[in-house]
Formats: sequence, structure tokens, C-alpha cells
Amino acid sequence: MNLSAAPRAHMLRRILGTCLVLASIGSLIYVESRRPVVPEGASVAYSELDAFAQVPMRARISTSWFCPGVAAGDGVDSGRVVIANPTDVDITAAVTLLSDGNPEQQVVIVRARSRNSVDLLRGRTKGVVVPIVEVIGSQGIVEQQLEFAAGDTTSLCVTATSSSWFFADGFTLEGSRERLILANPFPESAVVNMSFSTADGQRRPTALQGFIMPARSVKSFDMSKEGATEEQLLAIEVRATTGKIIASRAQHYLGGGRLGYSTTLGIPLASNKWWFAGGQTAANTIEKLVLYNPAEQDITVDAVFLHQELNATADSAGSVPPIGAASILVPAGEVVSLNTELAASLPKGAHGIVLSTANGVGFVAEHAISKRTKTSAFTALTQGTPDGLTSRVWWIPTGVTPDSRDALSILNTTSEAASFSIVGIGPGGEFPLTGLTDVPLLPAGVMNVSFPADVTDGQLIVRSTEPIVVRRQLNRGHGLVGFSSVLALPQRGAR
Amino acid sequence: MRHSRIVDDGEIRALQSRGSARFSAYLRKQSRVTGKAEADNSASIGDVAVRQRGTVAFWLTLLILTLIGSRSLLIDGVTRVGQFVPFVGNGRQMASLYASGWWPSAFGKAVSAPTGISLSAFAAAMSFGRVGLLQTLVIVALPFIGYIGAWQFASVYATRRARIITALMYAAVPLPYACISIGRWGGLLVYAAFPWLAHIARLLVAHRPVVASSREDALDYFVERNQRVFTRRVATLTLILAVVTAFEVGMLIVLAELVIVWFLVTWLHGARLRDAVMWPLMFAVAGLGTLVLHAPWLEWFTTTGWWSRVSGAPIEGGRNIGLLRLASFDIATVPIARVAVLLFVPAIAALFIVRGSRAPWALRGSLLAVAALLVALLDDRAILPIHLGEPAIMLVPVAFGLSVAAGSLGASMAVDVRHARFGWRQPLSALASIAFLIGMLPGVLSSLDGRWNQTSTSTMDLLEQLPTESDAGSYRTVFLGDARTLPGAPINVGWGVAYSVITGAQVSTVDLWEPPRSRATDELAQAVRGIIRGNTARAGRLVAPLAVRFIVVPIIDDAASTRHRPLPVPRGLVTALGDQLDLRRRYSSPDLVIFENAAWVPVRSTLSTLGAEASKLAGAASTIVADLAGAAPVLSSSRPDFGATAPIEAGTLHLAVPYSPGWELQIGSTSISSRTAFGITTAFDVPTAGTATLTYKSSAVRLLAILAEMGLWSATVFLALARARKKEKITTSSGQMQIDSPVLSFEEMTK
Repeated sequence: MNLSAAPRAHMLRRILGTCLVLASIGSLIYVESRRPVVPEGASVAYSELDAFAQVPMRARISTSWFCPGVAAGDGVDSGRVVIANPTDVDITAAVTLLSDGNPEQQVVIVRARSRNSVDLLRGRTKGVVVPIVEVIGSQGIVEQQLEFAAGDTTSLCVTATSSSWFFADGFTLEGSRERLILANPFPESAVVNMSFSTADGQRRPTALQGFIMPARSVKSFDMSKEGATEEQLLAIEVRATTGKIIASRAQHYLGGGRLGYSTTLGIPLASNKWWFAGGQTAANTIEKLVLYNPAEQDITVDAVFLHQELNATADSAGSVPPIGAASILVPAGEVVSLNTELAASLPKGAHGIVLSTANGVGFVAEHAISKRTKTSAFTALTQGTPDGLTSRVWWIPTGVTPDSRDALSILNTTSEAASFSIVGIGPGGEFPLTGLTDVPLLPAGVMNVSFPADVTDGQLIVRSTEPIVVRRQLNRGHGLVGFSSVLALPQRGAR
Repeated sequence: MRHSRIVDDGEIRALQSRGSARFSAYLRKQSRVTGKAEADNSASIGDVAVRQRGTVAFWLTLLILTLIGSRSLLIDGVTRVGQFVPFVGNGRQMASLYASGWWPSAFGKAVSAPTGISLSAFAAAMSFGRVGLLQTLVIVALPFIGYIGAWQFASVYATRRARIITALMYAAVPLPYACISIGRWGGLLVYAAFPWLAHIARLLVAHRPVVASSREDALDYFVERNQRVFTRRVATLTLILAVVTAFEVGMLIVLAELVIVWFLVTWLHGARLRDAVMWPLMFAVAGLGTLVLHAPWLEWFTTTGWWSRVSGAPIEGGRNIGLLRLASFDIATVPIARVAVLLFVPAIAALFIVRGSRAPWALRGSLLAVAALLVALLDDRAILPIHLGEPAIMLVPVAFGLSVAAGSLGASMAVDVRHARFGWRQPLSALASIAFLIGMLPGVLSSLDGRWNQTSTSTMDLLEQLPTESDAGSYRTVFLGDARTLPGAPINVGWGVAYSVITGAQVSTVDLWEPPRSRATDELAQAVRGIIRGNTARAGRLVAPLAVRFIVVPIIDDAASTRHRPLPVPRGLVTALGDQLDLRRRYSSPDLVIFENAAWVPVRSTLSTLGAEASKLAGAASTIVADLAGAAPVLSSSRPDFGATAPIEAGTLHLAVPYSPGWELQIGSTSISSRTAFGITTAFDVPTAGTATLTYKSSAVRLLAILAEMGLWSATVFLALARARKKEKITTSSGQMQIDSPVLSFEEMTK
């Protein structure tokens, strides 16, 4: 039977309309099956590595630098924050000094490609002062320098606060003094707990639990007075249960095999891998790795010692095999010390060190070199670089000591061959340093760089083709023997 | 006359009508015409018409249910949840605000106020200042207006049964009750107006009412357009559209859905293109008229970000409500909400059951419902290239489509089901009826609560702990977080974070329109981005010149985010705020977190010496490295957009508003010139102490524009309400009938 045209058209319309509706229903089911996307919110605002010393990787409206501060009562001659401007435009910064009194603020202009400094002590002879430097933009870099008869120090500053701070290597033997400086830069109180571990185990003094840090205040603790007297091993853990703070250590070595002075910020995070570039094995030199385990489980730390001599021979893979290795058990909550020479029978010379745990549990490590000369002694303390902060670009805002041997130690943290170049920043911009362009660096190799007397005293930048770690070795001044040790500043994100 | 009177006075009075004779005559005419038409139509298809008594019973039932469901709202008032916020001042103050030329929302700007403020002022005046009561009554009445609109639209089916089913389906959808529960003005307004707009447009397009026809005759038919009422209907359409868009511009989005789908269906069913195109054409004309009526306000939509002023702040990654919840209109606390998805069964069944001239309407309803649901789901998943309105608005066409389809099913009951040979249609229609009855349950159960499940306490009440503005000067409060939980009209920053700004601690109707962009909003957005991306720890100082004193992160607002169904706070936001060096955590609870900016300055203040020096600079350097502490509040006013007079000291008077030369300051008789402060705000360098008078002077052009706008609105209202004096000829399916001939003539009686 043939349908007439009208009913056929009606049928077609009906089918088409129904198909439209059914297609919409089918689309509904398909769309419903798609997985939703969760926006990232402010999750990038903070990462666990933020409170380590570093040059910010991205453009910022402003950068807040927190420096270790100075204990005026220790007899420090002078202290200052140095603001380096590597750009070709002037930058504005404000330095706020937190102390026992009202915060003081000073605005400074740092001219293009130059440095400016602000005095910290301002005539103070007691109490502690902690500087906070606000730099407009992200290009300014800040460090702190102290001049002290026991040895000048250069200290790194950080761009973020943290709720936890660790200090692995503390020393109060034979009158040595360790002072902990805490600063709360926020406009609200913080509640802080402090504990420390010695060779005898962990202690949590009641007086150090739940103490209040008022808004925009500083506090200092002489660890000898807090019960850590005559300790050769002293690891400290500071945790803010409410708020975040800055914690630093002013360490004065007066005996027990150590002499000297150092000021460093704490380590904000226990990491499962640390790199050290300034290892040394030499006569009359004791090199120690001090390891602190803040976790609740025992860990085994594996230490691998790396080196590159000028005539070192690479293996078939192109890398230089390690010169030694060691493993050490670090019980939960305890601090142990590893004498590298005894542990690994290392050959004389410079080496790099990488520490790690197989089970991924984090720990804290510091590197101490104590050297005795005919007339004196010194101790240089260096913190390690966590694995996430090895970088291809390192900044040295306050420059290096001219006419210094082994002023820089550079460690290649990869299994790839690399090369590095060092440039200076002068009034006319960047310029290469003689003989320090495209210097080869073997895989997992370390190299020390010396500088002549006429080297620039300006800012330096070390650029590498592979992620590296850079450590500085600086004169202690005052005719003192030895050196002080501090990392350069890695540029975050340049891996 | 007494001697010639035949009957008693009482009998005469009994024959007289009470009230307005003209209005009573209108109602009788409408009832007679409609009832006659419906009776004729029902008879022609062998159906028994629903009596008028049944219609009255239906509406009484709906009214009683509405009153039962709203009893607590009427007695205790509406909770300040969602967009249900107090009016800003009384009618006079709103009118003054509208005419001032300074819009105070967020940080303020020299732009025309939204038309909605003038309409609110008019409504407030009509309520004799009882604005709270007015607000409550409007909220309760809007759903009912929607029911009536659906009833009116269903006149296309020309049977009471179909009209009842259409209105009942529209009332059964729990959408308006969800809007009341979570405080969504936009959803309520669109729900109320949508069927009216569709009805008037249907009349303008001149679709013929459905009559008995052969089952194969599924074409669209059109009647001759009545030119005398054409202008009135266009004016009415424009007026309704203008009133609704004055408060909810997103209405245009859902109307576009209606227009596209119904144009497509009309064309599909054999209509000439010139008839089908009347759908978009009528709304285009009405839209043009709406634009003219909102002319002064149009400048808001000519700047970057104008689309978000139409559709609201986008939700990054989509709302992810899901198909089942959208299909069951489960956007708020609705009892057994998922059951409402059964309301789709009659709509889909209509596609298969309905035939004849009702079939195009069945398809219109079903396709509109499903297509609108698809669009809502696409937006829910953020798949579309642009973001659309919130579900409370986007689901209105779904609800209307369901009711149109259900109405077509009701209209076809007699022909396509009852009088047809027994087959699959009868069981399917029975199934559809059962599904309809069960699907109504969520809407009915919502009424038991007495306030449509609206919370009786609001999270915004927690803001009452914030200091009053008289203590330390006026300040601003910034809300940060998921746009769905923020009061006012949020502005999206990105990465799933939005912000909104209010003056003081209480949201008002002024804050319901997304503020126009200004250098101040740009500065705040930059500071918020700095917080989110970790690019600064001094966001507090950045926004200090904007008088931002509190930053609030709402977590539970008892509307979009409830304890049973909380929306997650954007990841890391509270931690990022905690890392700001100028913000102290003032209050923290599972419902919200409040941070106080230690660097803030009052909206109107005399700056310290350091602050005055810093104010002459611009950019981050002027605020981050400067300490603005020590600013003293001056020239306090009940409203920061209003002027004030008070004694002030010599120094720099700072106004935390974007720079505008309209702000004028006089010390005695001396005029002080203004300047930009911090590159953003306004300052006056006052050389000597004295009595200061601060005013905002609007331009004469703006006042003329307002007057012209008022004239246009008046003209539109006149056109919409004017009635032609000539009688209309009503055409029914059975022939012509004139209703203007007298019932009896005295001439006849005296013969």
C-alpha cells in the first residue's frame, strides 16, 4: 500500500523530531560520562621547597626576604643586609628590623646592576635583630653579612616562612655557644614547640613547649641555658603549631676541636636526598656529616662520595665512578655524626657528597669541616641542597673573595656530561670571566674554581648545561685562618 | 420614582455587581470566551470539558499549597541567604542613588546605576517604605505568577484539562522552591516570566490554538495577526523582558534557547519561513526595545568582561552537579529530589502518544526540555567555549518544556488515548500519569517545611561580629573563594577562585550587580592573583588604599554549600592567605574564615605624613614599601556614596574610591582640587583645617538621560496597558461569534 504524500511527510517529521530528542538524550549520557576537571586553586602558591634559600623562578609583585638576623650580644662588630640588583633598572626595597622594640623600617633604592646595604645593629649591643626585606618585583637578591672577630660570615636569606625548622649540627662543648633566634613576622601570634636531640636521646623541655611568639616579635634561646650543655651532638627541631616563623642559629665555636662563628637559617624540610659540593679530605682536617632523623622510624642513610680530578678517567658510561661510599643507621629522633674519612677511606682532595635514604624517609644533614693549622683552627659549616633545588643557574650576589683558592665548588648532580660558565655583572651588564666559559664537568663530577686577585667583586652568575650545586668558600677576615662556607643561591625552576 | 418602581430596592441591589464594573465585565468576557472556546473544542473531540468549578478548585489548591509552603516566610521573614539581601535604603535613597551618577558597588565608579535600582525604588515607593515586607511578598508570589503564566500559555491547547496539566506540571517542578531555599532572585524571576514571554510571543507569532484535526495533520497553523493588538503585545513583551533583565540579564540566554528550538520545530512542521522566523524576530524586536529601555545602563556591557555581567562569574572546571541532579532540579535542599526526574516521563511519552495538531507542541515541549538540559549539562561540565548562567536559570526552559509537553499530552488524552483503539498508547499514558504523580512529590513535600527548606539562620550572620563602621571608619570586606559561595556578584580571577567586595559587613542589593571594572578592581584582582600564585606576601598592603579591612573565605553558606553537600574551598587558598604578612586570622570555623588586614586605611581618612608622601607615587612601590598606619577616619557617612560635612584637620584627605573628578571638596568656601593617590584612588591636599563638605557632582547629561529613560518606560507601559475601544472578533473552531450585541433591549421590553 502506498502512503500518500502528506502522511509520509508527517511520518518523516515525526521521525526527525523524535530523533532530535533521542540524540539530545544520547548526548546527555555521553557528556555525563566525562570526568570533571578540578581547578588548581592556590595550590601553586606554596610548595614544600619554598622556604629554602633560592632565587624565585617567576615574576612577582614583591619578594619578601627573611634573613637569619644577628645577636648583638654575641659581640658582633657589624651586620648588614645586602640587596643586589642584577637588572638594568633601579629597584625599591624596604628593610624592616624586628627586635625587642617596635619594628623599624627603612626604604632604600638599589641602582641598576649594583648593591646596597642596610645596617642591622644601629648601635645595639644586646638583643637580637632580624631583618625582613621587601623587594618590589622579583629581581633583587638579598644576603646577610656579619663581621665578627671570631670570623666574618655570609648567610643566605629565604623568601618564605615555614612552620618547621631543623638544625642538625649543634655544638656546645667547652664553652661553645649555640643561640637559636626565632622571628614571627606576621601580625598574629604563633605557638611554637621546640625539642632537641643529643647523643643521649631526645628531649622536650616543658618550658619550650607551646610558648607564644607575639606578632612581629623575636626571641632567642641560648641552648646551653635550655639544658643542652657540653653537647658535641645537638640537633634541634622547631615546630610552629599555629602560624609560621623564621628560625636561625648563631653558633660560636670556642673549643672541643672547633673554632669560629656561623649564622645560618634552619632547614625547613626533611628531605630524602641531599647534595654537598664542598667535601674535602686533607691532613689535619676532620670532615663530618651530621645527620638528624626527625621521623618516627629508623632510617639508613647512604653516602656516596664523588670527585673529579683534572686527570680523572671516565668509565664506559662516561661518568666518574664514586671514590667511596658508606651507610649509617640513624635511629628515629636521633642525631648521629659520620666521619667521612673513617667511614669511606677517601683519597685526599675535593669531593662531592650525595646522601639519600632508600625508603624515601626524609632526614636533615649538615656538613662540617674542622681544620687545625699550626697556629689556629676553624670550622666551616655548610647546609646541603635538597634534590629538588639543584639548578642550572646559581647566583652569587655578594661575589667571591679575590685571590682565593677553591673559592667555588661545583658539583654535577647528573649522570650527563656538563659544562659551566661563570659571568660577572658590571655596570655595562654581564661579562664573561676569563677561562671560565664552557668549562667541562664530568658526570657526577666536582670541580673547585679559584679566582685571581683581580676578579670582580660584583655579582656572579654560574650557568651550567646540567643541574649542579654550587658552594662558596669565603675568607673569614681579621687575619683568621681558614674559610667560611655557604651555598650560592639556586634559581628555582632552572632544572 | 417610587410610584413607578415595580421591584424592591433590595432586588435591584442584588442585581448590581460589586467593585469595578469594568473589571468584572472583563473577567466575565474572558471566562465566557475561553470557556466557550474550550467547551466547543472539547465537544468537537468528544471529550468532557473540565468545569469552571474544577478550575477554581485547582487554583485554590495551588494557592493553599503556596501559602502553606510559605507560612514561615510570611510570619518570620526571609533569611539573608544567597541573593535575598536587604534593600539598600528606602525608596527615596534608592532613587537618589540612581540619579547620583556614582555607583557605589565594590569600590565605586562614575557610571549609571543599573535600571533595577530605579525599579526597586519605584516598588519601594509603592510599598510605602515596607521594603522588607515587599521583598517577602514578591518571593512568595513569583512562583504563583509562573503558574499563571503557564496556564496562560496553555491556552494554545484550548481545553481546560490541558491548561490544568500544563500549570500543574510547571508547579510540580521543584525548581522555584529550590530557588527560594538557596536565595536566587534570578531563578525566581526567570521562572515567573518565562511562560508569560512564551505566551505573548506565541500570540505574536500567531500560532493557531490546537483544534481537533486528523491524526496525520501535524502541521503548524497560523491565524491572521490582529494589528490592533500587535503593538500592545510587542510593548508587553518588551516591558516584561525589560523588567526581568533589569535584575537578571541571564534571562536572554534561556530565551535564546526557546527561540532556537521553537523556530526549528515550527519550520519542521511545514510553516512558511516567514512564519517560523517570527519567533526570533519578535524577541529581537523586544530585545531591541529592552536595550533602549536600559540605555544608560548599557555602558556596563561595553567593557572587558561584559559577558560575565550577563551570565555571572564562571566556575572553573564546571559546577559538576551532574545529569541526575540537574534533571531532578536538585540544586538545593529538596526532599527526595531525585524522584522529580520522573517528570520527564510524560514529556518523552508525549512524543510517541500525541498526534494531530498537538504533535508540534509535544515536540516543542520535549525538545526544549531535553535540549535545555543538554545545554545546562554542557555548562555544568565547562565544555562550552563560553560559560552560561547558573542552574537556577538554565533549568527554567527545562521546566517549561516539560509543562508544554505534558499539556500536549493532556490535550490529546481524549483523541489519541481514550477514544483510540486499545494498544500501547494506553499503558504508556498510564505510566506517564503515574510517573507524573510520583514526580510531583518533591515539590509537594517542599511545602511541608513552611519556608521551602530555606535555612532559618544564615552564615552571613557570622559577619555581625565584625566591627561597625563607626568604630574606626568605613571599610570594605572582600570575599574570596568558590564563586558559588560568595555573596554579591562575584568576579572570577582564575584557578577556581573568585572575589566579591562589599562596603562594611552586610551585603545589600547594590552588591547584586557585578561591579563595572575600574583601576581599583584591577588592583584588587592583581592582589588576589598575587595571593593565589604566591607572587607576593604583601597583598594586604597592596589593597590597603582600597580600604580593604577584612578578607573572608566562606565555606558553608547554607545555600550553594551546605553541611550535607559542602563545596570544597579552592585548594590552598586559606594557607595562601595565612602566608600574607599583613593578614591576621581573626576568626576561623568550619563555616568561614576571616582575615583582618593590618595595613588597611578607612574609606575616608586623613593620611599620616608617610602615607601622604606615598600617595603621590603609583604602583606597588607606593603601597608595599609604605606604611600607611596612622590614617584617621573622617567625613563618616551612613553611605560611602553619599556626601558628608564635618570638620577636618590639614593634611591629605584620602577617598578609597577610583579617581573621579566628580568628587568635590570644599573647605568653607574654598574649593580643593583633587588628585590621584597611589595611582588609583582620590585625594585632596587640604592646606588648612576647617569644615569640609564632600559631594559628588553628576553631569547634566546623565540627568537628561535618566529623564529620557523614564519617559521611554512610561511610554512602553502606556502602550502595553492601553486597550482598543473597538470590540474584537473572536474566531473559534466552530465559526464566528460576536459578543458585543446587547443581551436585551429596552425597546424590545416596551414594545
